[in-house]
Amino acid sequence: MARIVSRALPFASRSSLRLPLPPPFPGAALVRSAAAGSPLPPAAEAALAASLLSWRGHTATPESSIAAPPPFAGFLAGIRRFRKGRRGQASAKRSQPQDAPPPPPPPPPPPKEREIELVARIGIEEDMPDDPEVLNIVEILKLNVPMAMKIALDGLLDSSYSTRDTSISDVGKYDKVEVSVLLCNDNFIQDLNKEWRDVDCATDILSMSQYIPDLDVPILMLGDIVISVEAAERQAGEKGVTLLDEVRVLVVRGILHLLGFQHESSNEAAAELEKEEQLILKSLRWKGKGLAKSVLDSSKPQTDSLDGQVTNDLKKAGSLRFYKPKFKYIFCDMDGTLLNSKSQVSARNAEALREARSRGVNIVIATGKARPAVIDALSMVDLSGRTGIVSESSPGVFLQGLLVYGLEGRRIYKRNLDQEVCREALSYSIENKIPFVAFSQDHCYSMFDHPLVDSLHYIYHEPKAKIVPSIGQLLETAEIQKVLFLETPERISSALRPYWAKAIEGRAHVVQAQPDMLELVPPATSKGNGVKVLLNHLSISPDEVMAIGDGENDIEMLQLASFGVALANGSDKTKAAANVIGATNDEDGVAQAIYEYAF
Amino acid sequence: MTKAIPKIGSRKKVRIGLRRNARFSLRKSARRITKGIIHVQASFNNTIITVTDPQGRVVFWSSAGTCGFKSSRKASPYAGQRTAVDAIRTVGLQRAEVMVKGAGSGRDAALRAIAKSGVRLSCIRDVTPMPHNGCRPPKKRRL
Repeated sequence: MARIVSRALPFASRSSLRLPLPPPFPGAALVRSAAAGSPLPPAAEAALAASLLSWRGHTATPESSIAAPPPFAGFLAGIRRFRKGRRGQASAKRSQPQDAPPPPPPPPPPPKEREIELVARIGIEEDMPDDPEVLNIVEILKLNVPMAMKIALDGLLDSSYSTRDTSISDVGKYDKVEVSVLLCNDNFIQDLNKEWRDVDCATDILSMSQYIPDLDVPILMLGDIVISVEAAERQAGEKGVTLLDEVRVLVVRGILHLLGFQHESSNEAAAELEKEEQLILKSLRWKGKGLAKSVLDSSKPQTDSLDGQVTNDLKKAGSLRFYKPKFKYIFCDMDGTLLNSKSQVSARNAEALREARSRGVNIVIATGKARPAVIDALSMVDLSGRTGIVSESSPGVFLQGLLVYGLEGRRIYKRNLDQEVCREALSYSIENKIPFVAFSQDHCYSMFDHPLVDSLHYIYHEPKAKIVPSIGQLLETAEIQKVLFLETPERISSALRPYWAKAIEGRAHVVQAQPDMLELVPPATSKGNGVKVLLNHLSISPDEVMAIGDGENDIEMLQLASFGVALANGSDKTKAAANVIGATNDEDGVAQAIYEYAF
Repeated sequence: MTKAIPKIGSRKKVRIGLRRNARFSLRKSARRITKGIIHVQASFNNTIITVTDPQGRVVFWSSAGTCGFKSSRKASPYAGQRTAVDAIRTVGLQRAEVMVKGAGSGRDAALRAIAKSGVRLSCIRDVTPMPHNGCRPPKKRRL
């Protein structure tokens, strides 16, 4: 990531800029308001007043500017001694448990010149709905963000981090330090991300620095922290914390970014940012860990069911009320469902899938096709790839549940057809001159150069079949998951299906996903079984799953999900097993199902 | 020639210092210069305008909070405009460079107000840095 050049100015240039200023220069300081003075209190009352002022400095008081005096040694030394005293008070506060949040303070008198005022301006973006939870978070942040700023700024003098940008080092010469926090939704932060970083996707937080190194004004404007409440809500749901806790963690990270910490440049920088973040969160006793630690924690298996219950309670307590999709996952078939009669994804279906994904619903493809076929079919509507809904690194169920890929595209399940069944099937196809295709993970094999075999590639987007000369060579080179016979629908229903249902009884299973195709798959295997394996791997319950399908092989998947949609062009058995019947695949049935039942 | 900006009488304020080296001082609110640099710091909740002389010494600064705009619902572009007008009229600039930093809502309004104020602008420079992104969300927790 590009380093912030404007903040990399050396400290010497700043001091050289101030050298030409003579101390008694009359116009150097601005007088904007009269500050009434009082005699200096004695030491005991000074300590009490200091603690009161230190407490008052945390509030977001109305802005009052006091001119900065010309800098001289005594003043700066006084500021440094005073700030050391405050750090001692912070240590004293740290030992006390904070059971309840402090009551909102009465409007204080204008703070004295010694106290550095910490101002946090919290705003809500205009398009956000008026949600009472978000407004409540804004009121809490008005108290919490100055506390976080205080601990972060106090830590600057002690810190010896090597990767921090040290443009902001000593804030003793400022009267006020200001931070702007804006809560928005995903659309707003996506527009910002696209405009200022050329990344066209939503993110959880953006930190935009406003610091100008050589500007000698009494206000230190750190910058903006923009937080997407929708992204924070999703992350809070994943971590099992409330939305307020997640927003506070993001605010702490944003403040550290504005002070010069980074995590994108190197691992050492990320470790230092993490260390400072943990320090601040521990001092304030705020819930939630840094983002990196949460990643480590989530990889450990949760064996305690009580913790699971507590997590569920926390999820319910912190749920966001203005929007939540009904399902987290939509399992979708391809042939006869997402693909129309020409084996293409229509524009309206593609638009529905894209919108569902942007609202936080995950689309998982469960199909009898091979994975390259799905990627090829969806690439025509720009839905494949890392940012699409299917890629080499996304979960999915392929080859009728014989190949299941989990998170990051890792294979979590594979089932092969029995060798003897393969041999019998291949011999049968040679004797009766019926073209077959053998599926082996991402490849297809055949012994026929036949138009029906070619149609698998040109119409159904399957990988192009490789021609092998003999059965023995095919069985040696490939692990076959399923065998596909291609024949006319009449001949399949009258001759092939009864024969093979009887011949391979107990050793394999007959599936007919299309009228003109007969598939032999291993026994006790179905698409529903593959979906079950994937649900276990993703740690989601069927209540969060919606399924859309049309064929007989989709019946178990529709029954397994909490909400099943069968398209009108499907078989009667499938319609009987589903919750609702949608439109046909030629009438954009997937889009209609998504718009009507998922949102 | 540029249209003359109406003259503003100098305002005098007296402040009494609290420190040991406090002294009574009587000085004008701002130096009046004819050429300078205008810094615009536009955040989403505030806009700060700072006027410096060509050597970088601060002559005047103003912010939306100082002008009395407060809101937790949204930041007003009018606040940015009012801040800019306040800064320019007080200093009496005739020639300026503009440095803009930030993406807030007061940014465009402040720039438009500066452009309309009659000050002759030699350049407008955007010095907004690249913002930091958040981390990628962690994996789903396994229960």
